[in-house]
Parts: sequence; structure tokens; C-alpha cells
Amino acid sequence: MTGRRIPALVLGLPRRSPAAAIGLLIVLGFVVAALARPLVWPFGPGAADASSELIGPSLRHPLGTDETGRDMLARVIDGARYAIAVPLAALVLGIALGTPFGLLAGLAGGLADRLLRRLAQAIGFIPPLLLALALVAAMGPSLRHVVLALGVLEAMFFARAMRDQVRAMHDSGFIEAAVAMGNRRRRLILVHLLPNTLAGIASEMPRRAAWALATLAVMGFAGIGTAAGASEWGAMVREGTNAMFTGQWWLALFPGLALLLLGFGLQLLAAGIADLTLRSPASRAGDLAGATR
Amino acid sequence: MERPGRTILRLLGIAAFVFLVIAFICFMLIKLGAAPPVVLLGGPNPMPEERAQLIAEYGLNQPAVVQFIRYVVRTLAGEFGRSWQTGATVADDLLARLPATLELMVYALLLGALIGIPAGVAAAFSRGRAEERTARGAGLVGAAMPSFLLALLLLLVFFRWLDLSPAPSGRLSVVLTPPPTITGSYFIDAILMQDAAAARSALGQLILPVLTLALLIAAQLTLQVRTAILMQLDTAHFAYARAQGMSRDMLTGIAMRGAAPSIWAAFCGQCAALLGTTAVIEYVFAWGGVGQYGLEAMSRGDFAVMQAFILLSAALSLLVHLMHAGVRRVARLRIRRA
Repeated sequence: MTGRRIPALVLGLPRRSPAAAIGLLIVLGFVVAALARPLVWPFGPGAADASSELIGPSLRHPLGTDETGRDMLARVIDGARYAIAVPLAALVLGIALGTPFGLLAGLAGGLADRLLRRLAQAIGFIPPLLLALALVAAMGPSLRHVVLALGVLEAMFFARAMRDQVRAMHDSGFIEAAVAMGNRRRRLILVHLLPNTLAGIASEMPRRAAWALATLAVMGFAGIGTAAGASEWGAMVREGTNAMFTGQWWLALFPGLALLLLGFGLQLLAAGIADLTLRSPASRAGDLAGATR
Repeated sequence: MERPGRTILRLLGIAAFVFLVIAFICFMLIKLGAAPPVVLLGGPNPMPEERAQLIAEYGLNQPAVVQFIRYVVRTLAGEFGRSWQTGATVADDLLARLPATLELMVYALLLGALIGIPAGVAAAFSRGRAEERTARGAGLVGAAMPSFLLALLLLLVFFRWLDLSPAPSGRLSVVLTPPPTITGSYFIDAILMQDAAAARSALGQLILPVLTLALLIAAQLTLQVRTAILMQLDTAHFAYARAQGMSRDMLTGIAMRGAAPSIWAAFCGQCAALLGTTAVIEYVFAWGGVGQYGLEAMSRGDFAVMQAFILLSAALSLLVHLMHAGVRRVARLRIRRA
């Protein structure tokens, strides 16, 4: 951040990066829908209605109803709460757990840094998706375990991101200057190092949120993690899969499309931020390393 | 001067370290479990004699350190325990299912690269025009696409609505007998045995899962290749080549050569993470490979299978990592000689 105020940054976004603006709009749209649904939509996500089972999309039920007559629009919007809250919690946990390690490793350098890096590299050989699934499967299905597993994997990512930033800054001269001017270690970290890592950490958040969202959905779809009957989108697709082949395509399709739309919003936001922050050709390399599944 | 002996020793040391870390994680999966290890390894209702055998085999009544050492030794000997779901040893189960998964992954990687790399190059060269926005937009949609949703969408269109594709019921029509194993790929084996019906059926079953995986790979490759080529377009030697008035094909060749290491890295990255996505696709298409086996073990709490599956996934990406490093090393040697 170049000292620009936050409001100016947001208002100027559509002009400077349309992609980021659209992405932000999609994400905020889901947040607003999840918050406003009880106020404006007559059906609740849990309200079964025996008189309207498995109705296709109509004016009354734009996304149809499920096999117990629950309104699918209400359920899909209800699912946004999982899709927003779980990745957000995982990000908070990941940053809180990961960045201190990254900071310490980056500052310490030498053997400790090399050991931590080797450790992260070794764990990284397990595909992150499978490790997250295995952790939840091992701990047992519960929302808390899902957040914990996703958070631990995010922590590994943020630790490495933080470590790389601190190392790069360490070598960049202005820290050396700050040391030469007689700054104490505490002040060095709090005033010179940490504020300069904020932008880098923040710019990774949309892509990491997209990863957490996709992983959460696979957990739901594979029947690992969230409890049965919850309106988590992946689990809803799982429940609707068989009906898809007998004609009730809307049960699986709409939760799936909601996943796609929110994920696309996050990817747009990430790509827009990458365009804004990574202007120089050399630093575009970050884009290359960033795409993960 | 490099001393090959020392390099090999160093690599072995790293390999041992990586193995110990991953084995430790797999070992900890059981310790994280909410149920007693006997239940996790032996199923919900193990018989008393099974129970005693498991306790003796894994040393479950001994301290955790001893258990871990036993686990490492057993794993190194290729003993992964028994699946309480299938009753067979996990090693046999994995070996029987591995060809199905590899078949899917190899075809998907080839097709994905065939789509993704040209799309990325085209996107980079049409910087600022509509083609670029299309390719990049498609790449972003693909990156956001849940793997199972793409599989279900393709099934809905090509199986349910157009009736062009067979039902998602594994690798071969249920009325046919699989060809004898030569390469492990039903399609190639059927051709080698000149079994036209089996070959046609195997191909039909392959198309949709391979297409799903390939599109997911292609989307990510498009974005990554585009970035790699864009970096080349900004270099001085490329500007010089363009100023000389070289043809579009020659310019593409120059950019491709410069971007080759990044593209190779992106491709290897796709290979390394592929087993996770493949598992989900296998699950949708009832493919019967190691991915579906591992995923079902996770959802049912078959811990011996879970451990072996995680080990296998790590072994695969370790192999890919070595392949990546090896090719890069050879390429660098050639550059130095030239």
C-alpha cells in the first residue's frame, strides 16, 4: 500500500481493476444475501412442506424444492454462511498460527530457517486437498475439525509467505539501514518489518479463501466433514447427485453453481490484485507459483 | 566440481527425512482418531482374536515411540495392514487399483497439456485483445470450478440429456469381461488383444472422466503458461527479435524456449497435485481406482487404507518432483555445453 486511504482504494477499484471490482461485488453479494435472506424471503431453509415436494424451478420457488419440500433458494443462500464463515475462520486461524513461525524463521535465518523449510517441503509432498481430507476423516466429522484442518494447512502457506517476505526485506537494505540507525529489535519488527508484510499477506487472502472453499466443498461432497443434512453446498450436491439422473437436476445443480460463482468471484479478486500489485515483469513469478489445487 | 557420491548421499538423506516426516503424519492420523486404534484399524466390530492380532502386530500396548518405530519398519517392508472394508491387504488392494488411476491420469495430463499450453500461448500473444480476455476468463472459471460439479455437468449433458455417453459405472460396460492385463490400460490392452467391443466400451467409459480432468488441468495451465510467456515478451532479447521483423511463428518459438522451464514446472505442479482431483472424479464415475478407494476409506474411517493412500500420494508427488528436477538438470547441462 502506498499510503492510499482505504475508501479511495475501494472507490477507485472499478477503474483500476474491473476484475477485482466484479470479484469483490460477487463476494459481497453472497454476504449480503446470507444476512438479508431471513428479512426478505418468505421460506426458511429448514421449513419442510409436504404439499410441495420436488417442484422444479418456478416463480414461487425460483430454484425448486427438495424431496421434503424445502425451498432450494433458501437452502442455497443458507449454504453461503458455511461458504463464507468456514474459509474466513480458516484464514484467521492460518494467519494467526502461520505468520509468527514465518516471522521467526525469516528473522533467525540459518539452520532453524533451513530446517523449517525442509519440514514444510516434506509435508508439501502430500497433496494439500488429500491431507485436509485425511485430517478431518481422522479427527471425525464436525465443523470445528473442518476449520482446524483447513486452518493448519493455511498456516503452512502463510508461514512460508511470511518467511519469504521477511527474508526478501532482510536482504533489501532498508532493514540494514534501520539497524544501523540503532533501532531496537522490537521496534525493528513492529515498525519496519510487520507493516511492510501486510500488503503481501493480504493480497494472498482471496486465493487462499478460494482454496479453503473448494476443499470444504470436496469434504461435503465426499461425505467427510459436515454433518448430514446441513446446507453446505458440497454436501447438497452429494445429496442431489442421484436425483440428477432421474430428472430432478436442480437439486445438485444450483448449490454447485453457487460454489462456482463464489469461487469465481474470489479468483477474479485474486487475479485483479495480482495485476495491481505485480506490475513489474519479474514479480509476475508470484502468479506462477500461486495457482494451486 | 561436483562430486556425484556426495550428491547421492545428500539426496538419500533428504529422501529419508521426507519419508520420516510423512510417515509421522500418517502415524499421527491414528493418534488423532476419536476411537481406540483397534477399532480404527480393525473396523467397528473386531473379533477378539483379530483384536489380539492387531495389538500384537502394531504393538498397540507399547509406548507411542515403539509404535511409531514399528510403523516405520512395517511400512518400509511394504506392509500397510488390512482394509476392514475389503478384508484384503491394503498393498494388494492398491496394486489392483493403481492401473485404473494411472490410465485416467496419463490421458488427462496429455489432453490437458494439449489444450492448456496452446491456449496460454495464444492468450499471452493477444495481450489486451478479446481473445486474451476469453482465454483468461475461461481459465479463471476453470480454476474456480469444483471438480465434481464439472463431472456432473458433463454427465447431465452427455449422458442424461444427449445420451451420447455411457452411465458412470466404471471402466468397462458391465456385460463385458476385462481384457488380460498387459499394460494395465483397458483400452490399450483391448486393442492389443484385438477385442473391438471391449476397446470401444473402454474408450466410451474413458471419455468423460478424462475430459473432466483434462479441462480442469487445462484451465490452470492456461493461466500459468500465459504468465510465463508474458514474462518472456517483456525481455530485451524478445524485443530485439521482434524489431528484426521475425515471423509470428519464430517469435512464438523464441518465447516458448525462454518460458520452457516455467511451463515444465507448471506441468509438473499439475501432475503432483493431480491425485486429489482424480480421487474426486473417480468417485463420481465409480472408476474403481486408488483415488476412489482412498476417498471411500476416508469417509468410512478405514485407517489402514487412509495411511497407505496418503503415503502413496506423497510418493507420487515425490516422483514427479524428481522428474522435474532431473529434466531441469539435464536441460541446464545442455545449455552449458552449447
